Amino acid sequence: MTKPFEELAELNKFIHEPVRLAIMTTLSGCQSADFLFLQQLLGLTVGNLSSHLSKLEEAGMVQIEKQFVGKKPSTMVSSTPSGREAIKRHWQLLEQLQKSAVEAHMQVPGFKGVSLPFDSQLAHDHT
Amino acid sequence: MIQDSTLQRLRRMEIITKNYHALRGLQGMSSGILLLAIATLELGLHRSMYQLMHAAPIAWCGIFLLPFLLRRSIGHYYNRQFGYVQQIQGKKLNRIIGSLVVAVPLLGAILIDSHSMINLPVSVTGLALAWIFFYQWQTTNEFRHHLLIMAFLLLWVSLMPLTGGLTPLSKLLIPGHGGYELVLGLLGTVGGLCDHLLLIRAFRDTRQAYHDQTI
Repeated sequence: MTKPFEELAELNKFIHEPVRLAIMTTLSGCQSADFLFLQQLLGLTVGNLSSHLSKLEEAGMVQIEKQFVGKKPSTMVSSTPSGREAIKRHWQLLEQLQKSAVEAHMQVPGFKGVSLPFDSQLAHDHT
Repeated sequence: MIQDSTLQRLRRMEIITKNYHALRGLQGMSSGILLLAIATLELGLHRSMYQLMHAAPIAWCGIFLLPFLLRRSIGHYYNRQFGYVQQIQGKKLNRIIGSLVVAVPLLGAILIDSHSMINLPVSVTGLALAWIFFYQWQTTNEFRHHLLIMAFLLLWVSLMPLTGGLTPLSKLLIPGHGGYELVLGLLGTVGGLCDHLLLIRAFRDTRQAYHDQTI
């Protein structure tokens, strides 16, 4: 059995940053989303979101395209194939890490267990 | 270390994004209101929709155009207020199967119920609608619980004649003379409103989570 600390070390630190993890998780649920949607859903300021998106674009994880929806300019953001692969792998590791942590706790006397937060349907989608 | 509640919130974001189009409930409400308007006309004039369409075809074109325009303008409202999402396109075969799963039972049920030779003690259309609501609930990550409640309500009303009670209520689910449109219109309107509220709440919760520094 692998230990939780070993699995923790395997996590991609760049994606694990909370805002970037939220952006990548959101983008994994769609083909592309516009800037406004990400801003509204994540509750971020324009500057904060722009900064994280630029970092993700530099790392080749997202693709940013400026286009017109009707007559209005819109910034569409989508995950690149490598970005999708990275977030899928990251979630697999997080789930694995959580299971290992629960298993480790089970060996502690008096431990009554915890409920896993993962939605069964989504867990299935990611595997 | 990342907390359980944070993981749940992140998962919820993915679910909301996946089902964003289904949650734009006010768009669905426009069709529900159209059906309610048709039901009111049918019940008030004691005519079927087919007869009414023959009586004033131009007026009916306007009635069908209005929800379409309403749907478009509500779509613009959602794009301006919450943003735009392009959904992941599933495989073509899966989409065809998905459409057939919904359309075939409904059309078959309407045919059975409107066929005077077959007189079943239950509303087959109601059962088909219950199946559609259940299917919709199941395919949208099982979080739109109002769909499940509606499915059980429809199931209960459709099977009611078997127990000998509330037969007129289940007769509402048989097409013609307004009852069918009334039930569908009500479900469409209430369902649309619930979806919209769900969307508002989900956006509010995620923003709150960010401000509370739990993301």
